Amino acid sequence: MLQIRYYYFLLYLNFIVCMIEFTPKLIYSGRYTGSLSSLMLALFVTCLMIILFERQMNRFSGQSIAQIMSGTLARFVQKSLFLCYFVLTYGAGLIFLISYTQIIHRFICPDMSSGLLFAVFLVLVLFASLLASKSILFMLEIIVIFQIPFMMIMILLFLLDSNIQVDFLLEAATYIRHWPAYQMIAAGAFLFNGYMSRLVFNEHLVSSKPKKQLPVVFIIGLLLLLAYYFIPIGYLGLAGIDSDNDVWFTATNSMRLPHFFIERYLVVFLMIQLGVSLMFVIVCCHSSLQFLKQANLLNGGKIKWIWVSLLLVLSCALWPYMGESAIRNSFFSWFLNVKLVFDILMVLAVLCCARRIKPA
Amino acid sequence: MLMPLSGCAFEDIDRRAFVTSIGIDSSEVKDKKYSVILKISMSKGDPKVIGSDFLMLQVNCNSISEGLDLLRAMSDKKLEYGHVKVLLFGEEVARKDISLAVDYFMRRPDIQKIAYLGVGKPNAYELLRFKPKEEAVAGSYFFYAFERSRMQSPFVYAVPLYDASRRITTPGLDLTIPVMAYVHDDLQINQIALFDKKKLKVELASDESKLLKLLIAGVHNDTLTLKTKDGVFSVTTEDGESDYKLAIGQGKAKAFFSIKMKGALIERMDDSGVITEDIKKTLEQKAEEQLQKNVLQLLIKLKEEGLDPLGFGLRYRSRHWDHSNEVKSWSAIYPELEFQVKVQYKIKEN
Amino acid sequence: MRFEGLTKNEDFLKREFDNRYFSICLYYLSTVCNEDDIFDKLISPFYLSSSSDDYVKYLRSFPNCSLHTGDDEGTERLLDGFVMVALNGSMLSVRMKDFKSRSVSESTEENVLQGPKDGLNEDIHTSMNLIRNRYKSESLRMESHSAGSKSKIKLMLLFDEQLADAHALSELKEKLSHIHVDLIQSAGQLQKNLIKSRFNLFPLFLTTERPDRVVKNLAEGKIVILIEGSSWALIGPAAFFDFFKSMDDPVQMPVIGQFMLFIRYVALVITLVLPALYIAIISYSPDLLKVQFALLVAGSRMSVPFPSYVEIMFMLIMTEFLIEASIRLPKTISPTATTVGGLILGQAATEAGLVAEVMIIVISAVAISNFVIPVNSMHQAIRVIRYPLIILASFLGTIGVVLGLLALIAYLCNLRSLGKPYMKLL
Repeated sequence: MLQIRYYYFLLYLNFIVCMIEFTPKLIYSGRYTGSLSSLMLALFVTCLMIILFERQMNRFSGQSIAQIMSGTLARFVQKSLFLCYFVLTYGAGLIFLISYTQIIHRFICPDMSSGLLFAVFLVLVLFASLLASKSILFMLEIIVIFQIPFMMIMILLFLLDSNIQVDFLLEAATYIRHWPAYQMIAAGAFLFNGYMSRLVFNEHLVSSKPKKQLPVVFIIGLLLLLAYYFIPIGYLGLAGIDSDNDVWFTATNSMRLPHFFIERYLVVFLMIQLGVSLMFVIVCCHSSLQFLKQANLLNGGKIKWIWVSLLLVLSCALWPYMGESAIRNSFFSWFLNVKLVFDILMVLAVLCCARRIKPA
Repeated sequence: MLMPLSGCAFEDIDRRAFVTSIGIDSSEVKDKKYSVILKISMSKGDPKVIGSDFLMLQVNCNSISEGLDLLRAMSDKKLEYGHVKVLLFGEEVARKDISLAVDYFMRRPDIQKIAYLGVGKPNAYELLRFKPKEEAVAGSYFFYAFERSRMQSPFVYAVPLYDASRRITTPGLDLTIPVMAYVHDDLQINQIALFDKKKLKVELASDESKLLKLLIAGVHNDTLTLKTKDGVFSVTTEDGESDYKLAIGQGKAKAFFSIKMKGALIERMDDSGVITEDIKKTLEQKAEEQLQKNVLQLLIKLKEEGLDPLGFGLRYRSRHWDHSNEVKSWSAIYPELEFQVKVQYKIKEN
Repeated sequence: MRFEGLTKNEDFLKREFDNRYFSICLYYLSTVCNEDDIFDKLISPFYLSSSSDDYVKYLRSFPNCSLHTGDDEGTERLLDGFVMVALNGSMLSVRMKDFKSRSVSESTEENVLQGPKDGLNEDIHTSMNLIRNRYKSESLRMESHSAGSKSKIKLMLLFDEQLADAHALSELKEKLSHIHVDLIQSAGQLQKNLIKSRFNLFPLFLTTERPDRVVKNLAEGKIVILIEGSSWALIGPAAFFDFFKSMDDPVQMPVIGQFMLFIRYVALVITLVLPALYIAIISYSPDLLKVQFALLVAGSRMSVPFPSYVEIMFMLIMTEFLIEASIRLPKTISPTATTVGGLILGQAATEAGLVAEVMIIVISAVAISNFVIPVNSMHQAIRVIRYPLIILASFLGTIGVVLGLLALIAYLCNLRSLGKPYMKLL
């Protein structure tokens, strides 16, 4: 059993990976129509969800999700739910991997073939996702702790930059009075979606104290959210953000490390984000394999390798279709809507199970 | 198996040419739009030798990307744009349109967004050809000149690429770019060019540039020449900053400027007597009057040109909750905007 | 004739004695027994005792005396320095062992500034003496085991019963019982047999020759294995971060100790990543550097005819040679070798324009920082792991470095030492 801190690392990881890909485009597309208020609402909603979810999960400390559900839900329902989750987590991992490959290809090595990069990433991710769940958590901790200073440096650089005009930020902030929109809330909620990983890792975690931790989670979440929304606006202007596909990378490309032997913050940021993103994809892949295992479809050595090679082939087959960022974006927004529905279903299912054991 | 795939990306550092500045002039060839100039810094074998050599490549083309492609064929090395620190536009280009070029550079991932922008006078080529006596890396002269100007030069306000881009896209905040002139074998950066989103509209004189810099970013170490009945004095301003507030009433809009400056050293310019407290007082008063008059003049000039480098429009929008037709209403308000300038000038004991 | 297997040996002795009342027969190996002791403690009393019963009672008073019937057991005991006394048809064994070893000497491989100087000994009893005297606790357990099918080497398991993890202990015992090799002579060898995987790079047990380190680890709940005939002890379960602690750390002021520890991790990063990063930056993304620096590097590489990875591989392998050579050479010659190799070769190579000056700096930094890692087995592992990183960097540039590091972390995180996670913060 491991301490609960790994759970919060999962939350953090989810946030910092999702903040640079897909969601910015979606969020900034609604910057004149209440994306900021949606984000704030998403923060509140997810905080509530986290408390609710954690309280239920705490009842089942040390049990796997299949163990939790056994007895309450029919085996068939369980299996299909796990299979859906397998598809969802694997899909999330794959589109993030593909989109990050494109980013690396564009920003670091335009001369290298992106197919090669994708293949190398994929091999690493698949092998790493075969590790034991605990090993994944240890790895996660190291990577996240390594990333945190760079995040703080970025925020500091932003705060100390004399070229940032407060007026830009205030202008953006004045739009908070608009009504939130569902799509934005879904995108915002996805930023904090890391708590669902507990479904996979619950076996290995001790129970948490949701109420005690909440203020910390909330404050850090708020801080990250503000950084997430305002840093690109500070550098690019509220109107200028529209034309940009990779908002975060253009913003970090505008940062300067004045007294350091590396001058461009972008390169440092890209490298760190590469590590973190791959870690995120590893967690996704690992989760999907774990869901298969919970559905009793991953027993024995041979079947495992069959599944892994299947995933490998599937990823390679999907790679050419997902090359276009427009396709990825539309796929992603579709994915967001589905994911939210399934998350709610899952939380309800867990709630049901918790109800059942309550008298005991 | 991997080697041929990554082969074209593998390129040793000595097989790369570092472009440190890019210049864009309008082409003299008839049906070409631009003339793109690259300044490539050459590496030196011996670190003990100070000095820098550079290579200039020039090409006429219709678009910048076409130009960069053509230039690639002119070099034996791989052109590396990661170190571009200065983007220079020739005056002629600046008077036409630079927004597309800025947009192109902004979206090109390998160009740093902290590269500084400048308007070259008479053109970019002449300026890039300039070789200072001592320079660590070819092109760094410009860069450091801009870099320093952010803190120290009283004349110009250096604008990095991302700032230029957001000034172009944001309504109610206009672009300013320092003008670099090549005068008598020397480089001078003491003027600011004002743009209306796309093209150069007004070039401010160096006095006005000074004031604009004061209003935008504040100044360090600037001198004021003051004539009083006791003689002519030159006062060094140690520190100056300005701030403004917008007050929008019914139909009437007013901008209140408050400028605070600290003077330090006083130089006597003719054989007037010793500086006394009284003289200091009169100097302070004189400075305040003079500044107030000049700032007001500048502000009215800006208003009449319809330019807004100070970002009144942005300020207006950032303080208002109703967004339905802000931009429109502001464009109605700005021509009617009135200014009130309050200057506080304090001379320190010395 | 008894002890068939041993009779062909020159040192196997069978001596018969007779006094007026009864007779005895002694069997022993003269090379592992102390003959003076045998004379003083066995033969002289024999001539003084008047009945066999009395003599047996006398023999029984020896601490290790036991009665034997089988031949096999006896052979084992003979090899371990026992004397077999046959009288009246029964067989008694008495320990008269003579273990030749050096006396307690300074530990030479793990030097510290302050702190005790003595090192563990080849003689297991001396080592145990050193440890017992430092760790005076009733919960300290010493269990004897043996390993090796041909040569039964005695192992001593030491652990604090209250602190040691029961899981780890049972796993270790299980593993020890499954060792099937002919010969085990050293701690490293034993470790290799405890770790099954052939491709394992990282040491999963700490090796030390310092009794104070042994004691410190005992107090932390670790299990220590002492090996007869080796002055090195194995300590497990070990974590990756244990290999960066020196015995100097507890001596220093806390802040200084922390600083030293920090320095070691910085050294780890440098020695691991710098060569790969050099290739990645030089050949893939020079825009990481400042212009001035980039031009300086480009200038110093002007005359170098090879791509960067050939250059760095060449110099790295040269330094490996240098390190190997200076270990094997006699102490009087090795400084000469390092001077010739390090200084003159480096100087000449840059002047000939075969390698860039910056590269020499990189290589020296790598070599120096490698030696900062306090535990020998770890710094050898790091030395080897650099090369895969270099290969990755020369194919994929900076991305390769990041990928390599990620894979390395994944690998380390998946290792377990006696069931305990190898790489886990806190």
